[in-house]
Amino acid sequence: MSRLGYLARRLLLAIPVVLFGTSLTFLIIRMGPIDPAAAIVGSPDTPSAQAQYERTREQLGLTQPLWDQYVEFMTDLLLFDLGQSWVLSPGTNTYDLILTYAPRTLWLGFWSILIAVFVGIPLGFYAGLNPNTRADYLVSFGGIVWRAMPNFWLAIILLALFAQSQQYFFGFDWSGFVVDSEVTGAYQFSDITTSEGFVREFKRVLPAALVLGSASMGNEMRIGRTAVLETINSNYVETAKAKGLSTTKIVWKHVFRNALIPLVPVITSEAFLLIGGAVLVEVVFGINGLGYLFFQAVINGDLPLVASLMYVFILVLVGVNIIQDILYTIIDPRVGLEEGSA
Amino acid sequence: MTLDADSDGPTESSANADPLLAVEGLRTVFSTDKEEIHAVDGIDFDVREGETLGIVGESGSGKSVTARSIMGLVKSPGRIVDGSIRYRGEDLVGKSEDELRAYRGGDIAMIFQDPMTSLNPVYTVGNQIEEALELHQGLSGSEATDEAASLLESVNIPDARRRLGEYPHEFSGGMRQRALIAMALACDPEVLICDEPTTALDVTTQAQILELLQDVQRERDLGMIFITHDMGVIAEIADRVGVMYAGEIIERAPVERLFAKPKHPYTRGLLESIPGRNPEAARLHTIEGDVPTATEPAASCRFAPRCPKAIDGCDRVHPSAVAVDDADADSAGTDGADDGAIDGHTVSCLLYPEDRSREWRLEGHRDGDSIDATDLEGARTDGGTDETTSRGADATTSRGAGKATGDDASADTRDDATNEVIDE
Repeated sequence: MSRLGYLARRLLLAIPVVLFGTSLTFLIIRMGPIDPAAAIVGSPDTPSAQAQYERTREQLGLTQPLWDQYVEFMTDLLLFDLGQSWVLSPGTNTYDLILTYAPRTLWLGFWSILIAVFVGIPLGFYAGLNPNTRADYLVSFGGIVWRAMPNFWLAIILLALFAQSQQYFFGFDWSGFVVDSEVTGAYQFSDITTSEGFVREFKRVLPAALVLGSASMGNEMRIGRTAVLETINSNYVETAKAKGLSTTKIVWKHVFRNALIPLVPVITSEAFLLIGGAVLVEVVFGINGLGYLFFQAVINGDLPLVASLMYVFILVLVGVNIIQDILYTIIDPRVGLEEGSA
Repeated sequence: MTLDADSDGPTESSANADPLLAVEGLRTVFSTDKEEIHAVDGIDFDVREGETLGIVGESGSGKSVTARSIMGLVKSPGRIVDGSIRYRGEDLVGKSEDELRAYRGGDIAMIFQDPMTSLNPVYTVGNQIEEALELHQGLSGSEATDEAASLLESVNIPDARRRLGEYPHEFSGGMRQRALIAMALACDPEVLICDEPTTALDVTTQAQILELLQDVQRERDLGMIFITHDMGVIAEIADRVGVMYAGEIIERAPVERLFAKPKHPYTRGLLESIPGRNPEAARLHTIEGDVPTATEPAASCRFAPRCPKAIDGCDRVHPSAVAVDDADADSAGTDGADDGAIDGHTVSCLLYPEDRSREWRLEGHRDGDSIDATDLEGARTDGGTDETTSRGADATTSRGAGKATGDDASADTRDDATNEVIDE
């Protein structure tokens, strides 16, 4: 029961975080150097332009008192009335824009987290179970190198390798492998449910996902190794051994679950990084995702779009945090103890 | 089938004479790049059904490594290099990990020092007990739950059924140790090794746990090895005692005799260090210095540098076990039918046998695994005396003595000790 109470508490605490983050966004946008009216009509240097500029300001509601603007801004966002784009694609609902761009980023983020988790953690656990062996050194060293490569650099290198795979991999043609696919460009989800479409899109997301997940993969590997080493030398594992349990059972039941505990915040904090890192990777691979959209919106002074995207990002971060808390309560029974007794 | 050890099999009464567990010449060595540490250096003991063997010694004397050697749980880079560990006649040394696992828990179970960290924090206490029940008694489902609850009750945990569903962090230290005892009992063992099970607990809880262990042992006729550094605990729980120092058992005796007539200067030191045993003394007695780390095979008495009674020769001759007759040794006669060395009182010290001359003793200890009077008579004549005296002359200029034994590591401390030698 106390664990449910703990979760409820975390959910309640998320509300002020969302409110604060959104308010901060408003403040930064309104106080910042971007003049949205000028972004739409250009700088007001002639009288007619000046008149149009004033008119636009009126239309956009920028002449109202700041306090009213704030209240309207907040209520609109909280009610998911995200408004329309002003500059990038005038008159289009922000909502529709996000719906178009978001799946690409989600597809990319999903695979980069998944690949990192399913490659990094097993490798790290393997290294931890076989410490100071050749395999361990290989994995640990590889992890450090892999993690040390910057996103943008790795992206370009992988792009080059995959695009000209015939030249680098003895005639192996990546683009024509299984199904035809290009290495760059936005993803097409129209036929994702068919196996061919799925394989094609997976092939396309793979290089970008490898790049985006590279840092997290290295982190998860190193922390997974340390966690397993620590757990395997713990007293309760010795107790389990003294009980006569088989190695398989000790490792899968007693070691792994405990070793996962320190990995939870690593995985979830990597999920945050994906949002920032995605911009770079999306640009290099030509994927028109949310990161790319956000970047364009900021450069062009498309304030409603920026605000809406910020709001979405805030919700995602808070959501990931809550997922992290849920994972904690599932894995570790000690979580929520203090709340329970309070 | 709650507390009935008999349910296991018909073997038991017939096997009474043979020891359940017999350890002989056990050596466990930790090898690092720099040095070899002889953590356990040739120890012998055995345990019979329904009997408690106490192993006592300071921190670092090799008690826990002994326990882990028996369980086959010595951590790398440690390994057993010599000796045998016979469980019901079957030698466990050299068995593969899989074969050893068959003995762990069900035959030999162990209770560890730190109850706070010895339970897995992410599983309920019930889960961890039922895991042992399933493995060793083939119980599962509600049967296992019932059995686990009755085990918890038998270790005096109230409201056992509710407690099964709780996690270790919801238990107090004493409760956790009880749960760990219940878990060891769930394996239905024949031998129970307790590695300082009460050290981490407060005094009142200690007494309860000791009492519980005694009850459990009596009910199930367990052979128990009880490891501790606490002489008071030993007095309470052990039938026979082995005193460990730097990897060796330096004195062994039935518990009453050890407390009444301790022979080894180290044992005497330990007993004098018990508060309240010597009320007229103004200050509590202590043994100066620390247990040395044995990095080389024993070529001398490892206690000599700290020994108040060290004689010339302690730094050159490694003492062997000597059977010492206590004046009132009639009790030894009663069950001395099997090996006298097991039930009797032996001490590894160059001061014994007390009725022989120093040279005789040095020669005897140098030669033998155990001192036998007839052997010694012969050994004495063949020129050994010359060697002893010439070496002895060296030793008076104490620096040479340290080198003669090749033990440079502790030469400094030894110098101090030899300067204070009471030469006979």
